[in-house]
Amino acid sequence: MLVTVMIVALLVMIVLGVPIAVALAGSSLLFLVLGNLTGEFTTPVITVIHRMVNGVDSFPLLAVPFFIMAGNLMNSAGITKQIYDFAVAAVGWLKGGLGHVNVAGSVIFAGMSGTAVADAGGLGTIEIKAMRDHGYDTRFAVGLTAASSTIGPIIPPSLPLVIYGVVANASINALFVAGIVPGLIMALFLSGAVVLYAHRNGVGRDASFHLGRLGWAFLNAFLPLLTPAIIIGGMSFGLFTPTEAAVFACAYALLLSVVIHRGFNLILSARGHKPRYSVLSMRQFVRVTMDTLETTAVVLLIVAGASIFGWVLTTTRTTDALGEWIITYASDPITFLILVNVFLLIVGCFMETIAAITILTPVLLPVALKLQIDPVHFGLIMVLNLMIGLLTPPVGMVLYVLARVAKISFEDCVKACAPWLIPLLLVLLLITFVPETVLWLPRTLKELGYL
Amino acid sequence: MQASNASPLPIGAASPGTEPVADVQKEVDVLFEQWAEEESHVDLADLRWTDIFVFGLFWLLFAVVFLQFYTRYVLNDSLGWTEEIARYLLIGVTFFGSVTAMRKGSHISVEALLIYLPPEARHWTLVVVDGLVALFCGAMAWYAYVLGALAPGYMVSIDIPKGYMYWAVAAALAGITAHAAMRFVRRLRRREAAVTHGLVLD
Repeated sequence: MLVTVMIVALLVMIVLGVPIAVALAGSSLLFLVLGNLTGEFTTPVITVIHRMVNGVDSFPLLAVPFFIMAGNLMNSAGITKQIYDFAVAAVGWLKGGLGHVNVAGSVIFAGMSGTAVADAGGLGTIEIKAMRDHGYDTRFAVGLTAASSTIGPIIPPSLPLVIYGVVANASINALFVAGIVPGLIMALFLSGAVVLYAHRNGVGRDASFHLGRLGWAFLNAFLPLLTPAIIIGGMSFGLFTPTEAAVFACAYALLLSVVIHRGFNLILSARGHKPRYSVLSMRQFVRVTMDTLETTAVVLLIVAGASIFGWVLTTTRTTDALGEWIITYASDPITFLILVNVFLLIVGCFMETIAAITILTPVLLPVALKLQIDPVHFGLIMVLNLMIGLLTPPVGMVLYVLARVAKISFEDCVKACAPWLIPLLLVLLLITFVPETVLWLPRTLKELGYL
Repeated sequence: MQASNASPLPIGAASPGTEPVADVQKEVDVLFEQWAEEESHVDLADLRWTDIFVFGLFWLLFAVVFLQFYTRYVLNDSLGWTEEIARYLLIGVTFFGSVTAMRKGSHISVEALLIYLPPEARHWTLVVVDGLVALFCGAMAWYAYVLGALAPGYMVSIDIPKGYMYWAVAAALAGITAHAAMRFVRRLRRREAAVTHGLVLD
């Protein structure tokens, strides 16, 4: 009964526009206050703050600020440019060139950054402008950029997967490795869509292919390209914890943009060339830090709020009851996964990713485990679902960012992104019903004794 | 495709050698130069001197985690205290960072209902929301203070009572409450834009 009051209070507060972290912790506070008043539930009220603090007191969560900062740093420090140049040299000569460059650039960027928004707001700006300047339809450019930015949190590192791993108590390394294949499948599907578009609209190449040029672009991008190689390689072989990988990525980006690029520029100007490597200024450094801090605080406060909320749901055995209720409707894995997908797609339209993961994982995961669905598989399904939610109105972070970046209306942005939901949904279907796409790589690595 | 030779800017050519490639590379170089130009105008107007504290806390956290990374991989002998201290610093960054976030009104919320309400109803809904937030944060600050007084024992790796950490959280929550209360007052006087909290991403 009290739990019902709590859940209703949560929903009412969220709909009214109370910040989600406050709504989660506030409804739990209400539950404990009422419980103590009626004598139904006599845990002291200060449990709320105790659980909130404990919810953030976790080593894996330390990866959160640094993965957020890595993406911000890469953008501010202009490291993005070398990556983009490399992508142009590598796939720009295909038909529909800049479309493929868009996808390839996002894949590489995904290997350093953990959020879709960092991709869309940083590299995405350039991707859209370059395509538009080169005569591509703005809608095509915006839609493709939106779709390719969702690869970011699927290919490791990934902020949503860290949060899921912490809430679900699953191995974050395994989750990260599991994201590699689905991320590449997404890239393949998106590139396929670009090929279709190029074929139907007679789009040609945007660059010519030269092996020498590719080699030069690769050398130029070699230092930035080391970042994803070390992060993904290190975590796949169990050398790094995600937190260490995150700190490494930041330290390396700082080293590149503060020391190494400055050195390159000195060499260039000594030889009479124009310095062309960008260097991080002090003001940029402050800006990046403060943006990172703010995002970290906002994300982790939601995690803290969800921690007390989840605790109430578990100790009152509400999750068990909900689970049994769900199982009466979906007693086999297939039905359950279909229902979960539909449900999460709807939730993703209205709720922000981190909030949805922290609230829903404690409810849905026990059922999934009972139906013998692997928690890693389930995590990837959940995150991809919510990533698709980033492209759907009314609450779609990527839509907001891209509408502002491309200077088009929100409605136009929604229309531009709509067709790109098809390839993403196809990938979702594939990874949902062919678990091997997700589980093959972590299993193989585990059998080989790594991970 | 448009041939855009309209950009005769002398760019440090990223094209290889002397090969004249009539393609997208030049445009891209121009775009990135513009972007670097935009990025170099950094607006820090939204920051306050009080942010220095959490700024320092963040880089201290970075230093501690990096130290752990360094001692484990380079010196092959990881420092035991780093993990615990890093976790406490993360708690600090979360709650003190939330003070900044509350001042800027950037805690994520859902706008679904609000956009359909007439202006007056929206205003009063937001009055209720901001009032609730301020009340809640105040209560939490008090509870954190009480918890700090009750919490037994010392931290594992250094001789500091664990209660101090909760008191630090209480201080942060008091700061959050102050900003929430100011926001509430501004809202009552209609000096606050009629929107919910939300993260402005850049």
